[in-house]
Amino acid sequence: MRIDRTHLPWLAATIVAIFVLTAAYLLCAESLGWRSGGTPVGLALGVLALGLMVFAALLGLRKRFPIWRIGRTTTWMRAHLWLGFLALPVALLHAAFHARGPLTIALMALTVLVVVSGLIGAWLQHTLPVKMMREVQFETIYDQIERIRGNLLREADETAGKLEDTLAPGPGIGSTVTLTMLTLPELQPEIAEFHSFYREEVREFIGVERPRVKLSDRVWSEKEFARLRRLLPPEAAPIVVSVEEICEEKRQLDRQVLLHRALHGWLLCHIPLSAALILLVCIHAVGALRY
Amino acid sequence: MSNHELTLTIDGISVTVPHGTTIFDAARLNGISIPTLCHQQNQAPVAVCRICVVDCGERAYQAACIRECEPDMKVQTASEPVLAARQTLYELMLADHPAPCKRQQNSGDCELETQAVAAGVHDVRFRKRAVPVLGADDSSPSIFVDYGACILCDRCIRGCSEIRHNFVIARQGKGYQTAIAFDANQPMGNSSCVSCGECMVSCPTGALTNKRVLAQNLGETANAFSVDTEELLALPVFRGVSGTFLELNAGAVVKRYYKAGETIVREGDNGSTAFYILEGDAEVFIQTPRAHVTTAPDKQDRGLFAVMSSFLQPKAQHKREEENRPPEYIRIDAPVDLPYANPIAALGAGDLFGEMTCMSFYPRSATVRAKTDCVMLEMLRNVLDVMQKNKTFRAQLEANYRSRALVTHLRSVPIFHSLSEEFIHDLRDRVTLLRFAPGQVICAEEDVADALYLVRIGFVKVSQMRREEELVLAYLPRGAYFGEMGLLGEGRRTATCSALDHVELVRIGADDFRAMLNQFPDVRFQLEQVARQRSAENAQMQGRRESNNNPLDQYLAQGLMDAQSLLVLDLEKCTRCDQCVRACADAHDGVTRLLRDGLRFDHYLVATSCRQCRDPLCMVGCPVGSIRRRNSLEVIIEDWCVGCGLCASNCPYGNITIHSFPPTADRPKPVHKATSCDLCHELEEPSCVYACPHDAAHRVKPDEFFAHLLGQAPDAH
Repeated sequence: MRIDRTHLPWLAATIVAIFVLTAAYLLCAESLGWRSGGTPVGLALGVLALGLMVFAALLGLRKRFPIWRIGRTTTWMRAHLWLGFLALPVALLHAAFHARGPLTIALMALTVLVVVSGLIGAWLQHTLPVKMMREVQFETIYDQIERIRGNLLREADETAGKLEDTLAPGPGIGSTVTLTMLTLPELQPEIAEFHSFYREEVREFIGVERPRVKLSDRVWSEKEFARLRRLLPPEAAPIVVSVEEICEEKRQLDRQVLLHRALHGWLLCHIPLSAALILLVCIHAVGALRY
Repeated sequence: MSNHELTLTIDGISVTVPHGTTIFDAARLNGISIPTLCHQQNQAPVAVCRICVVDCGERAYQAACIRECEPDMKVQTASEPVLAARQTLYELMLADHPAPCKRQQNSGDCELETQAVAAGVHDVRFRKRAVPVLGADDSSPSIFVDYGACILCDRCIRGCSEIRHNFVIARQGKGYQTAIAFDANQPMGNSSCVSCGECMVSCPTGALTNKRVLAQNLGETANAFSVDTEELLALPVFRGVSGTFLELNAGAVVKRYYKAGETIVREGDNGSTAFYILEGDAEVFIQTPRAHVTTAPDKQDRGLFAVMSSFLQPKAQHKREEENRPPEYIRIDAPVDLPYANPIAALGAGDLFGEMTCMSFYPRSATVRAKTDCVMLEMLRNVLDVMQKNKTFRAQLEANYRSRALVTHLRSVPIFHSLSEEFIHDLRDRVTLLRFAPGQVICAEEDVADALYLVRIGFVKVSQMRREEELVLAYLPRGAYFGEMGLLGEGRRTATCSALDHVELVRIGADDFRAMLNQFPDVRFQLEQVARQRSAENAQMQGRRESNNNPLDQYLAQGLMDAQSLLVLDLEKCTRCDQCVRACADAHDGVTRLLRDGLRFDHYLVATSCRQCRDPLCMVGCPVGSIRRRNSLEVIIEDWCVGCGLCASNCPYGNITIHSFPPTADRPKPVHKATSCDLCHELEEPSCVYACPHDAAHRVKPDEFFAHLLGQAPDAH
């Protein structure tokens, strides 16, 4: 989610909440001997932290049922971001900035990790959409990329296969067949070089998702295609340009894959950590209240 | 030799013929052939082609077809100078003729080209025509006109006037611009031509050729039998139709026998024929279940979450609060409308159905099944066109329509609902039934308003000209009406209405209209309300069109100017999470109506989802009128959609999809329905927008939303 001016009220509310809670904690902390968790204030902070964490986790459920009319999802998302972030200082105040025992240490570490991963996620979602919009002009539906890659390969094969026909002299009056490269001995080395480049570089590049070939580098690609354009007669330029454009589209698809994974990949860390945190928090709450 | 006869010499042969005989006839009677192009035995000679020139020993060569024989005349028909003159004439004509012409290509019997070759003309010394001739005229369903191939021999004109007495064809223009013309220079399809085929038979070149509509022959099958021309002409409905035409189009009409219960046509199927019931009764109905695709999930699969979902999501679906009255009739391609509550009606002997399918190739609008054993004539477009122009047939159809369907038709129009039976019956005999060919103007802007029209068949385009640009205001389908604004207002037409396809209208004259208003104040009130609403919509549309005069080519090229509501995704905010697509699918029974793909405008993606176009091409051709505009200009697909897919193929943006309903126990075959974004109209906000977690999805009015980009307002976004 893009963090823009519309988030200002949420930012202000979060800062105020942190100040108020910290002030309340400081007022009570000294009289309670700087202990926190078991005291009424500490318990209240703990319950609040738990509530904030559970609420943040509910976003997943909210998104699971997108048409439920229980508040716009964008509001839920904002609340998730800012209240989820607020959970960390509240948890720290609840623990009085101490972690005693393996469970609380794990809890504290998980809370920090979840919030940090969330912050990274927020940063990625703030920056990457703009990057994707600017860098991937040929953006398509992510699930269709595989199919489009296949189409591009087919298109490239067809385009490259037309080189000989394009270079062959036009059919004369009354001729019924197109002459082939057999009649172009003088251009055979250049044609062979084009096909060799196509086979070894272009096909390798288009056929595989994010391959480690030199064509992935746009600068190198431009240089090579410029060389091919110089090498072949001007009539072949449209063919070379077409293949170059197909390579550019494929490069953009690779970029889209990369950015898409970055946009959503962090969730693979954030969601399991959040689930573990909720579980441990529940265990901690039950254990603390019972014992 | 009697006093009535004379003797002359033709090519050295002594010939005796009656006085008044032309040289051409005298030569022919004595086995001497003189080539000609403009002359036919059954037509009066006009001597315009001059190919039949002969040397009579006079100062100039004479046209044999018109020059009468004289006693002791010596005629040379094939002397070298005569042959040379003829060759020159062929060359001159060929210079104006696209050799090989259509007829020569098809059957190799273009008289001009074959005669020219026979006369030894292989190369033409003269330049081809520099002044462009008229283009081809493809407007007639049965005859193709190629003005370029016409040699102005007038055989068609004489065939039409002297033989058939139709008087449709004449010459128009002067000098080098002369051409044949139909009526007052109308396209042939719009003229009063009855497609008798006489002109086509008379034409010596490829200027008038038989289209052999659809290149189809209905052929004989188990239940279809070809019908002889004599048998057809014996039927009252074919009385007056040209036998020549029927012979030329043998196979374009067949007689079919159906057993009771047999399905004749099925809704949604494509076809190209119309049916005329000769004997028996049939029933016409809509088989497809009347339901939107947003049907509730199957109750058996309802889990806890589904129950919660039902509870949480208000299901006020299908409530059309803006509609004063629920639909009462579904309009179909038959002389009857189907009641919405029980969509079934009867057809009997003398009824014609499938006209829209036949004339305009719309999919079948309803299923027709034989109720008793039936005999029907199935015909192609060219035959139906001729029959429609046949006065006997028209009179019968109109009588049927007036007696059976007109009342229902009037009743089906909501504003006429309160008319009394007596008035409707009175009106029934006074209305006029009119036909219009595609493109024909029904009434033009600023014309005197003299009638109200109800659309009986086809689609009418309503448009206004502004700054030399046509602004389409609406497409009116069967059942709609127009002309009330001019009658209620200043007495002038406010827009031009033209036929989009083959249109049939019911015309209610101004006097009857006024009588109706005086007698029924309720009708006046409703009509005035509709007129005000249409006027406001037109002004709004016009205002938008004018305010949208922006410099951004991209905006125009993407057709955004024409959209009323766009689903745009802010690409700077969108994380491509597809929540919008998921929400759309959830809101519509698992079938999404939007694709997160499309063209970009600035940093917005214009998603593939209905744009609610101002010029909704999707509506054109819907055989059952199920895709239509709400009063709010919103495009909706009604639940009686038969899934023919025409709207989907008409939508230029690919925003309509066809959804398949799986077979059930009652319905062995899957049925289809068109779906497009309905803006979740039963909910406050479209689900896709509501569900977007990143505030990226918006439903916007493009001219307002993009105003800052178009330099029309300060940045508001």
